[in-house]
This record gives sequence, structure tokens and C-alpha cells, in this order.
Amino acid sequence: MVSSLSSLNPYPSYRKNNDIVFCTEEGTEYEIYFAEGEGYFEQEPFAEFVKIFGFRVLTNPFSRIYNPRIAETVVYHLLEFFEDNRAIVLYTCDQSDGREAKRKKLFEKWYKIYATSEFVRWDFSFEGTLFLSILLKSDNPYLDAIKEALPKAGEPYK
Amino acid sequence: MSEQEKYQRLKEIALRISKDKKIIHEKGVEQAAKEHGIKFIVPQSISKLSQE
Repeated sequence: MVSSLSSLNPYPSYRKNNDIVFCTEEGTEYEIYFAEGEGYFEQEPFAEFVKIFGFRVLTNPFSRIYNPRIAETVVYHLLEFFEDNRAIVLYTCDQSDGREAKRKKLFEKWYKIYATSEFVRWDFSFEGTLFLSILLKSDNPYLDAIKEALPKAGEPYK
Repeated sequence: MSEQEKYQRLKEIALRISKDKKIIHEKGVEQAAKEHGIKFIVPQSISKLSQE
């Protein structure tokens, strides 16, 4: 992720109830959400800081216009989330329409554009279609415990 | 915990997240919270942005 929020040009966002929503000039509406994930790594010291991240288009789902502000808005909210350096964000690619591999590639592309050495990402895949990414700050105080809790198959993505 | 156990745990976590995500995308966050007990969080800093 880029190191500062001010270097991004996100769309204005608003909170509905449990989610964050923004709309592009073309009228396409997107939703970002974070959910608690403390139950996923029960008994691990970092369990309470595990969160689930999701992002999807709400309207006009077939829009294919390339628009970097969409990525910048998503990255902006992720960066906000990482103001607490203990946060651990888990993300799986939606499998509902068979396009999970494309979503994985898009997420990788955004990471390459916006990530700095402040962040660490591990990628895992299961059965060829279930993709899981784990994103955290490199100064996360639980970094060693998190590494120890994960299988070695997931090497840091640089 | 062995490497195999770590792998299996992570796979189960990925499956649970994927299942929850399916519910969220099919029903929306509000219904997912009400009907399935999924706890959502919105960072406090969202209030820094414009409210509509």
C-alpha cells in the first residue's frame, strides 16, 4: 500500500450501516466491508485482530471501464484500517461466477501498484479455485506468531 | 501444530470465509448480520469522509 492517504484520490464514501459505499462518475456503486474474524484463529494471541475484507460492485456489474480511482478508494479504506498496525486482513476471491482467478490477478495488480515494504502479503490457494490472501503490516507486533501459525507454503509476496 | 494441521486449519478458514462471503453477496450485509450473526465493523475514520 502507498505510505500515505494523501497521495490517493478516492471517491467520497459514506457509511450505510455496516458497510462503506462509493459511486463513480458513471453511476456504478461499490461496497467495501470489513467483518470480524476473531473466531478463525482461536487461541492464537493475534486472534482478535483478524478481520475479513470484502469488496464488490452493487450496481452496473458489467461495467468494464478502467478507472484507477476505484482501486484508490479501496486502497484508501484498507490503509485506514491499517492505522492499527495489529490488524490482520484476510481476503478470499468471490467464486460465485467462476471469475475468482481474475479477481486474484486484479488484487495482485493493485498490490504491485500501491504496496510498499510496510506491508506483507501471503497468498494461498486450495483446490485451484479458492484463493486466500493475508495482508498485514510488516511492523505488526504479532508478525512472528502469525508466521508460526501459517503453513510454510505461503511465502511473502514481494 | 504440524505443517499439515496448519494447512488444514487455513483451508477450513478459507472455506468459512468463502461461505460467509457468499451469504453477504447474496443477501447483503444487513441481512447477513441479522440472519447469520456476521459481525461487521466500520473503521471510525470513515466519519472523516463526506456523509451522504
